[in-house]
Amino acid sequence: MMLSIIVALAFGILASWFLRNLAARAEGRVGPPLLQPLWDLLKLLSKGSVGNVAEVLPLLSLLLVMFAILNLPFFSSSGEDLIVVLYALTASSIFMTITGASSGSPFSVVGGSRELQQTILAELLFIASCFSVVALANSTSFHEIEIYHLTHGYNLLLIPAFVAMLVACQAKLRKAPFDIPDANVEVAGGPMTELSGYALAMHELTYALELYCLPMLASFIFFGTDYIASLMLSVVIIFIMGVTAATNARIRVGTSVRILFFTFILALLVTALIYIGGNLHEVVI
Amino acid sequence: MVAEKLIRKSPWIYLMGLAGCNGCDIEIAATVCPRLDPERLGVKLVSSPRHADILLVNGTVNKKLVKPLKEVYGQMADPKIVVAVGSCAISNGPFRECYNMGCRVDEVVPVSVYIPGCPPRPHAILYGIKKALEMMK
Repeated sequence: MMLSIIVALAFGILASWFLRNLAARAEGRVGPPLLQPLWDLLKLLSKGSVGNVAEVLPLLSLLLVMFAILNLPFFSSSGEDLIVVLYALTASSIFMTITGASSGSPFSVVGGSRELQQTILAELLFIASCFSVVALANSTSFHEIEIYHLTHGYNLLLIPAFVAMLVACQAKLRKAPFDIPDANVEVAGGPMTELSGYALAMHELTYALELYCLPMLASFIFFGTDYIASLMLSVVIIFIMGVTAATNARIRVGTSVRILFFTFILALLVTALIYIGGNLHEVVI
Repeated sequence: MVAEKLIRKSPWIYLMGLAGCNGCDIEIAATVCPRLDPERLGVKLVSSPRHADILLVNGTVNKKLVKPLKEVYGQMADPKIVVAVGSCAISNGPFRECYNMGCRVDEVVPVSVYIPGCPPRPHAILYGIKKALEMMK
């Protein structure tokens, strides 16, 4: 139990270093040293705190992501159902959005409202792409999904759903091109503008844990992989995310909402096709 | 004590451009560009003073900017340090006899490191930041 959180933390911190280093290499820079995200975190924890923001909200967000990680299906003692994880992840990002709105700073209010627009669609997209697998396995239980992957060949309809999942991850983690909510030069860091010290560290920690949780969940749902294989697949997913982030410009919030909406329709179509296909199959038999 | 040691590993900088000629701004932009790449030292340019450890000030303090400068310094979490970049931030430079001058930067906030030059070279700015970090003990 404790071990999975520690592994998640280590993975998250290394993944955020990996993302920063990828961006640096794309710009022809050397990039930060290996443990830089860890030093940043420790420094923020040791610093004092100023500001007028509800500091309990980032903590709630962190606890919810930890809950989601404990409910991932990789250890025998851990979770059983997809709905629990989806619920915890959605609630976590909503809390993060409210953090911005809770302060009086116009920057964080603008950033928070942008994030709310984007997050709601990203969450819908995330859930819709997960449900394409649920429609195949005919159950939201992790056990049934694993059995489906063990007993069936790979359904090609899952490929567009997986792409939709990657887009959802990119938007949920606010990586370019979906980084308009916390655009540094425009809204001074968005929802995090007023956070300092401990609250900002909670936010960074939540982000690092999300970097572990989302790719692990995606690789289990779409490929039914075990723990080690999921870790390796997560590295690949994070590499794809990093390259996309380093090579894309920021897009406007209207455009990003439109892209997410069309991807959402695509994921829904895939789920509907799978559902209808499954039912037709049963009728024929 | 611990915080000071950790800040040397990850100094986050907030850039405050006062009423200067914008020359120092451009040189600071050149400092954080790929050629010198301060991110390899852990330096990060942040966009809110609440996240920052180092306040990088350039330009003169005219009458209207005395209060904002004090406010921004107050919004930074302890421990914090101020670095003045360029002749304007040190002594109001060529603008010192203008009708709208308020005072010098170090009359408003405690400055730890002065980086002279009009404008200073990017290398000098990076050296100044490094000196500021060495003073944090």
